Amino acid sequence: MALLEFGFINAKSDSSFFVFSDGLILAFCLVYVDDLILTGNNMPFVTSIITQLGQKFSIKDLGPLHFFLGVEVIPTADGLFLNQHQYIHDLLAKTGMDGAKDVTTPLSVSVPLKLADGSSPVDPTEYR
Amino acid sequence: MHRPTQIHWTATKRLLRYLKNTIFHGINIRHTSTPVLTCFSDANWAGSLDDRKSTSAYIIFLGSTPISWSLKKQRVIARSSTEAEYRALTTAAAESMWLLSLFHKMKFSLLHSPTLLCDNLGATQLSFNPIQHSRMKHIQMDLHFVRDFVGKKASSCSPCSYS
Repeated sequence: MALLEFGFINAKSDSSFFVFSDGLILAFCLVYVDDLILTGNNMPFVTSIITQLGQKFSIKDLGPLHFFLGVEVIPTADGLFLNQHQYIHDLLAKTGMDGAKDVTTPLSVSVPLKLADGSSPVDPTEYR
Repeated sequence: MHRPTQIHWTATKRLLRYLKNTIFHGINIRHTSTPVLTCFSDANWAGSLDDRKSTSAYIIFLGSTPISWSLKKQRVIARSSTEAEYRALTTAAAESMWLLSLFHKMKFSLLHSPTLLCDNLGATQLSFNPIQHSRMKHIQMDLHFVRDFVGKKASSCSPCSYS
């Protein structure tokens, strides 16, 4: 693993998380299959890691983080705003629910959910 | 899910309609947020109408940002609400411990030790009462786990009420 050669240490608490710590320099790297996030408190160091990774693998630097695992990341004045707008949009389109009337609560309080509720059965394949 | 019914189908579609309503909702992470870990846990005792199993839930905040949450049906049947709440507290304590080890790796330090909150007085008292009650023997593993956590790492386990 190239990250380990650069001095990153794999966190025991999460096998896809890598930490680099040397003196004042601190950098984190999160890897998911062929996608990764790299961040740190020292920009020249982060840039040098990207360059070194680029020499070993064919990687594409997408610049500041916008999307990771379907979560959109929007920078704000004092931090980041995370949302799943695109994911929900795709899900609604896939299920044909994009034209449905929206509701403000996820579940009805008056209809209890049970395994056998006496109502008519539906096609189970639609759930998949 | 096997043998789904019309009511289940309506409920599933309602979830999607709810997502449509909350499509622009998200999590705001502020760097100005205070570095404290607060963990809320709750349980719905015997909430499942089919087998009377309870549901555990927790949500952990780093400052004002929710960073970890879970809602899961418990595997065994709880005989009292305290037992159900205690199981939820255990799951929450385990997640807090994992987060603490992650923070440690990231050289990130908290202002003070994490706070565990649960809305059941019995479960809260059990978390620091060193006397093992015979009626609580069957949840001994969970008991020892949370007590150990409260004793070593978490500063407090306090009751809280939701209104």
